[in-house]
Amino acid sequence: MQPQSKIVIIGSGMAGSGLALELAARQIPVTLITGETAGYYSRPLLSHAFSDQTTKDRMMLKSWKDMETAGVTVMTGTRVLSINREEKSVLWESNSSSGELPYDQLVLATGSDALIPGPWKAQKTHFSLLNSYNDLENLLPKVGEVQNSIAIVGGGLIGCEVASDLNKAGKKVTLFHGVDRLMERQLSESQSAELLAHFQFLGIDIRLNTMVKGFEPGKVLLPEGDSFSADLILVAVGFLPRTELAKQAGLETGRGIKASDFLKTSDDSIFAIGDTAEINGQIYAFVLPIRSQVKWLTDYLSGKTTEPWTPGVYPAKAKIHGLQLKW
Amino acid sequence: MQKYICIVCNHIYDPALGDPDSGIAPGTPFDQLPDDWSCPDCGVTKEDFELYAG
Repeated sequence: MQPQSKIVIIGSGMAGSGLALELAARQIPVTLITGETAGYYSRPLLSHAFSDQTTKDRMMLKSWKDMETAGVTVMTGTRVLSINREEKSVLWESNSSSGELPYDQLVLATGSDALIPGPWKAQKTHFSLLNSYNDLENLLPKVGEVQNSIAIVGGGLIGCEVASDLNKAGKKVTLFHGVDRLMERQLSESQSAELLAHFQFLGIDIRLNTMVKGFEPGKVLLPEGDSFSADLILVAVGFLPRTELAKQAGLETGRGIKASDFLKTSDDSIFAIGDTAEINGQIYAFVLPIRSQVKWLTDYLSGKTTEPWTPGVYPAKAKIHGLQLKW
Repeated sequence: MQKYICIVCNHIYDPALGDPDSGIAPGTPFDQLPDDWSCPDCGVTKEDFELYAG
């Protein structure tokens, strides 16, 4: 079936699927192109799926069939190879076919990858990442098989949430962090100290000021020739907006895809939202601002607002078992 | 009393249970939750909850 819609969204995470569903609810035709095959899942739950086996099922928010029923045309398992800005169309490819899809407005909601520092890329087979539903599916059985210890590299939000959850799941966890306090980007010094004390009380081994040098099979390499053996190594040192498609199309990119306060890229017909969007120099990779972008863009595309998107104040909290941490 | 579900993470607000961690007593209906109440799992506001049919 040839999709009729003129709004095309690339990416089916919270930003892309969220926008598609909001537009469909207003009877606006929309086509969603995604490389995912499982369904629209709740990415924020990835870091809490180890201690509670029901989380994995709960995190599947909508099947593709649900999305179609809601009025969204979905193209799954489909990669967008390029954007033709002159013709206003995207070139797509799936395992079974390929083609061109025209758009009037294109929304890039391509999300982010887990950040892997350059020198570690060649050692990728020695550690795991937790960035997608597929990653979780691969990790769950591995975590189940762990006899002794799990090493987490990275003491940011995700590293700390996963450490908390694996500890709750009864695993022995050692966490390595390069600076002198946990979650230094989000928390005050006193909150970091509170989190450290909480983790130490629970028996989580926290190694601050420890720059990991690299990896060997089953080993985290540490300064001064030391190493740490672990059954499972998980790296969580940040995220990297997926900008390749935009870059290749000649759109302005920085760390993310550059967008104005109308969430427009340097092409008037192409928008960027979610983890991948760098709006006036700022990337808003959290649930609340992304929901806010989704709602604003729905209003804008349906002609309900002509005012720009304005970022608000977004209270956030970490999901740490047994401790309330807000900022 | 009606349950509500978060559209971002499938958290279900059950009035019978309330949300004690946020100071919401058991027996509090969804529409009586304060406006600044947020989803205990993902942090979205009340407007991202919908009636739970299950």
